[in-house]
Amino acid sequence: MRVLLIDDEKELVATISERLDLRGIANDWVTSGEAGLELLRKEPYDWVVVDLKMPGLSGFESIKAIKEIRPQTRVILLTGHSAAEDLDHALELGADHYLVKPVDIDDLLSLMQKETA
Amino acid sequence: MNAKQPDDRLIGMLEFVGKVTASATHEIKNELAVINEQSRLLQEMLAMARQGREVDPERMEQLIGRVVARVGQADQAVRRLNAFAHSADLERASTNPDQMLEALLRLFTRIASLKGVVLDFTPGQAGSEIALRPILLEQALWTCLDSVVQQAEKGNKLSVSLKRKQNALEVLFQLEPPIALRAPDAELLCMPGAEVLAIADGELLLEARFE
Repeated sequence: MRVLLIDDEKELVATISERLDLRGIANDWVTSGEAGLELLRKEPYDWVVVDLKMPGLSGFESIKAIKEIRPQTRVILLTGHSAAEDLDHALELGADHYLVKPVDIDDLLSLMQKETA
Repeated sequence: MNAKQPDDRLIGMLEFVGKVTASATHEIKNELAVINEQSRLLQEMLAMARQGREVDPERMEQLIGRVVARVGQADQAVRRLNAFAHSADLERASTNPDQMLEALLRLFTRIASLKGVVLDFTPGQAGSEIALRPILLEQALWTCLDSVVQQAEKGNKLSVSLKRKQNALEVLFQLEPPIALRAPDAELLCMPGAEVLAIADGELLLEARFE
């Protein structure tokens, strides 16, 4: 399983990545939607975990573009809050799941592993 | 039935307080999310050490330093929000306009950053203190800031400067590179005597009068 993490908060995304490393999960991280799309064009990922609020390409715009580039890649939207309209919009755009921060990494992993198996 | 309708100024003030609170609490939540991840990683590294697995003490020390730093940043964000909340308590107070604008810009930084706009302010231009209801000036400044930034494009720089006139403050918002701006909704400037004096390509001039 390969995971791409996209969040403009560098310390957050780098730490989640390190915790995935400890669990033996192959992953890459970037700090913008634009950089995430560039990576996705080069190589496939099973999962993309993307933050909603980012400068430049937002989480919504990123989800739409990810599904155009790699329709098979599953996407989890991370949000700081759980506004129902935001979450519905993310699912309409093609997100497979959403999680509200702070995320329990074991919940995140079990969600991904259950659907990757 | 003759239900009293809230007026535009009241709605404008509620929107302003809501936007400031939402942005500041997002910022605090973000700090907490980073602290959460870093402390969980530390827990995992300690558990590994207890199992006899090799862990890098320098990495642990670095993580602890970052947790301390992020707690400090969260504390600053809480202080800014608290100071803002208390500014609404004051009916009329002696206010340093430079300090007020600087504090307001700090609260606004996250919103500007999400739009890719960089804020710039040089304090010390507004002279001595003035007596007014602080939250009204804050709201007028925020309305103009928000209007300019929502119209700006990624990579724009927004400089804000203050100039003292006799019984008024002039606040100049300058956007670089300049773009054609629309004026903010004048009804949402809650401060009596506050008005947009001029609007041109990339520049908006607010005048706020006080006694």
